[in-house]
Amino acid sequence: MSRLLRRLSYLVNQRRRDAELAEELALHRELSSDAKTFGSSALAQNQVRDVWIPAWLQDAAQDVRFALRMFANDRVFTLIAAAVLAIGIGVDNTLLMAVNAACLRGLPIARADQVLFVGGRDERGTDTNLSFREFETIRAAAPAFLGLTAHASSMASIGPVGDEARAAERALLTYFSTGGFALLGVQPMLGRDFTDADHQPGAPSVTILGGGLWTRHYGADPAIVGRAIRVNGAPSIVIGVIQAGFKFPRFTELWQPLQQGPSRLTADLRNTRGLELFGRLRDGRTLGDARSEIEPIAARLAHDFPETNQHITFRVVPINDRYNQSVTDPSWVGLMIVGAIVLLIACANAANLLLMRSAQRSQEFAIRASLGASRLRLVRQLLIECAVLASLGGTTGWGLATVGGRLLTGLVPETQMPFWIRFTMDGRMLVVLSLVTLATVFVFGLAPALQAASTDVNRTLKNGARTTTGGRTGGWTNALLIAEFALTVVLVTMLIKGERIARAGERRGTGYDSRNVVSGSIVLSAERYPTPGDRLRLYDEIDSRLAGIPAVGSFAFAGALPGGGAPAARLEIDGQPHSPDSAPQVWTLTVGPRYFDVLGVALLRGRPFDDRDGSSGAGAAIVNQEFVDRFFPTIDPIGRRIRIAYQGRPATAAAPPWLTIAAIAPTLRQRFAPDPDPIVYLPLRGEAPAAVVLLGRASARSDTAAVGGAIRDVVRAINPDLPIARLMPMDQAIGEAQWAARGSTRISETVVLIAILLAAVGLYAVTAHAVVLRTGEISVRRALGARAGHIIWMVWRRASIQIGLGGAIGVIGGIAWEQVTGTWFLGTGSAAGLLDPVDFVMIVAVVAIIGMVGCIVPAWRAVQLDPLPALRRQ
Amino acid sequence: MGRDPSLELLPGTLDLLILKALARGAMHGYGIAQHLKTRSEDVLQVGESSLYPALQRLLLEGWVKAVWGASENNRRARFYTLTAAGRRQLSRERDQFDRLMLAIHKVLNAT
Repeated sequence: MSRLLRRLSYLVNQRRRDAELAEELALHRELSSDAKTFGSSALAQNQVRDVWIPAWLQDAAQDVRFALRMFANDRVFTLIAAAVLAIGIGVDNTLLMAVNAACLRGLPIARADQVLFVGGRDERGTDTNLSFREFETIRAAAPAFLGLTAHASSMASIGPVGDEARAAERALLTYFSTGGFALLGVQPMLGRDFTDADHQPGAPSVTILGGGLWTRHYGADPAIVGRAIRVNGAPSIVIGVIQAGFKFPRFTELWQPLQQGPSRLTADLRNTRGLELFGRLRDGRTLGDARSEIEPIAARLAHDFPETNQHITFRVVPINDRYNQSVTDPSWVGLMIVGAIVLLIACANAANLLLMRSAQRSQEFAIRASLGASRLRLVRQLLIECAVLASLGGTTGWGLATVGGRLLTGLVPETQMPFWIRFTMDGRMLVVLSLVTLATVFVFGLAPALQAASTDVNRTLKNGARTTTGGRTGGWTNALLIAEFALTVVLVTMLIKGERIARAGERRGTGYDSRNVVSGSIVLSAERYPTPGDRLRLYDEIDSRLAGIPAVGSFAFAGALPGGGAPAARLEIDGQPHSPDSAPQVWTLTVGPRYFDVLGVALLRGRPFDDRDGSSGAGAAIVNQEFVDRFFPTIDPIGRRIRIAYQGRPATAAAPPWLTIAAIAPTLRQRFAPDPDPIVYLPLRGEAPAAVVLLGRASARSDTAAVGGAIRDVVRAINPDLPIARLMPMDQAIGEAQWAARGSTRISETVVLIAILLAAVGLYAVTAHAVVLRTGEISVRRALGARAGHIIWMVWRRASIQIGLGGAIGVIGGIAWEQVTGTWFLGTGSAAGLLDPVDFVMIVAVVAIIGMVGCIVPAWRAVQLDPLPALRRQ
Repeated sequence: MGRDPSLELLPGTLDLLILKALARGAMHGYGIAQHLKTRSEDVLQVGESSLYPALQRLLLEGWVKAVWGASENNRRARFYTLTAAGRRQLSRERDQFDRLMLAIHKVLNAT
């Protein structure tokens, strides 16, 4: 190892070391009386260099210098080849960067492998949080841990103290039990951490602000520490500020001690599981130690408290396993495949460019071979040339990937981005980038190198410069072009297919009129509105005040925006056999009486909810057409009774009430699944959720701005500590909520565009080169009277065979991809998102047309050739 | 006449001789050559084209280290000294060489 370092130090200081040796030798010569007996100092210099630099490295260095000179002489070629490689490497690296950020890198905390996540699992294998009692039991019985911290997050309203009329804003608040920041290895950059005194029940309320919120909301004013702000309507002293960019657990903006949180979090309720746990291991203790301490506790609790803990087990994993996404998830695998294909296309392109060049250089190789260069030496020289080219491409690709990372970052709203996901390079990515670059050398360099090695010296030298489209070069080139087109078709198929899946829900079954509708959302705190009755009173008051404002045409509450997701539940139909485990799944949405009015949707049959529906003894539901098709295909559902149970509900709880179906609604999409869901709409009065969206439609003579203003004024007048989030036209809100779909669309479009462009460049370069090689032949044909159309056809015929073959292979690959992903993404039997033959014809046609355009210029040039100079050269 | 001493030295012995010479203390290149020449009574005349590559090889292995200093006649010269690893290498090579010589002797003196 130290020998290697000494070698490196020699290489770095070679100039100085040479000078030192020369000085030493000069002195030696001067001192020695008999100069003749000594060998020449030049020989000594050379031998010294041989000591330090192995011979192969000196040869390689010579090859590198030669390659650099060659590339400097042929700038256009170098530029195109390096650019093609840079694009391939850049795209691949950008996509890998996303995979790295989301699946591999993990949380930016010191010695993250020592930090473990502790969670629960119920009898169905679903992950659950833990209750405060479970947390205390675990903490008391796990000496492998330096400490364990429980946390829970909820939306909070924040505002200034003393200006109660000013509307509060919403920010995500996380409650930490003792030791949270210390265990994560983070200290406030201003002020102090929570102390044990802050965690005592009845201690004065304190808050630590996140750097982002501090800058955005308080102008990065250090004097905020020690001052009071209003959090959820109550004053709280700011004691510290955490560095910007740290938002544990995901996108939290402020923290408070767990004791200040909603009392249910710390209540003595064993089945209220609202807490997530993490802990840091003591030095020298392992995951196995932690597991053997914590896992038996679950069995003990199940024995002591069968009511609440019967089937609950505890799960201990490294915290990054909990927060990272799985690399084997189909969407990430798909992304990596796409990246690899783009890279392969780029490599095929570069290989073609090199093949064409080595066809021109066959003279040079023949001469070198005849002068005694071994085949191995020629292959090595070519591979080194490729390596130089690849490092040019890799370096530029790195730059492109940095830009790509910035584009990715721009796709995700800041508040939706978990704080550890940063699309940037790191050590691991640098290694990956280098390996990818190295791998490309062998992918695009091998064919040209092998071909050069098999040069027939005699024939090449005899033929002189009159090489034409030689058989072997042609073979490789054709194969590469066909591969390139096949890959492009597969890629376009994959991306269109992915797009269809992402958009399936979006495109079909919207069915509502979102023009002139404003939406916003509120979350009621459990302190101020503890019971459903309290919440309903607030909703009724907002509703009745808004009803008196002429600008508001109609107004309703709902559990979520259209397309905003829906909780899953198990369905039971009155009079049909029922078993809790195999019950069919439906999705539910809580809506106010005028929900369908606001959305401009007419019920297919039946009546809308009225103000009595949902109160006790009057259970009612509205189902959608999909629900009817699945569960009541032959009989009239109106007036029938159903019952729904939410998932994760303890089996011991009382049976839910029966609901009478009051109406049938059209099938609106609530989730972006490929196929429509059966949905049960439930009356607001029956559920009274704490988090609701407000939907207001403008009356005929007003607009969305007026409705938005009216909603804001009414809510502020009733409760200034109730911030309305995302109050905006509903279309905009839905669009912003779908950033994931939009982001993937933009990535797909960009990648498809780049791939097609690469394929077109490849075809252009190859055709152009073929035309140059055939200049003589074309000139003869022209001189003998061949028409322009004939020449163009001659050039195109070759290209069209390649495109056709490539297209055919690509379609086969695309269909294979369909078969794989059909079951992979959707499960068997789903027809949504499948591509039909017309799609394939379209894809091939588009790729073919672009390919054809790629050879127009060279074909045109062939026609324009002046036959005379070319003929004279012969 | 030992015109080309490297021919007469067994392979690897030059390294051993240099290490041995340096065991007495720091020396510059010419000093080492002179030392070998006088001690061998003019038999071993090491040329610069074998001496300096050998010294560099020892530097690479980490057996000697070099510092610039002033020579006897106040010229700038590079002085070589043994490192701890060099001392260990010297005794190792010395042992090997002795064993080898003994073996050769036995063969040559056999009747």
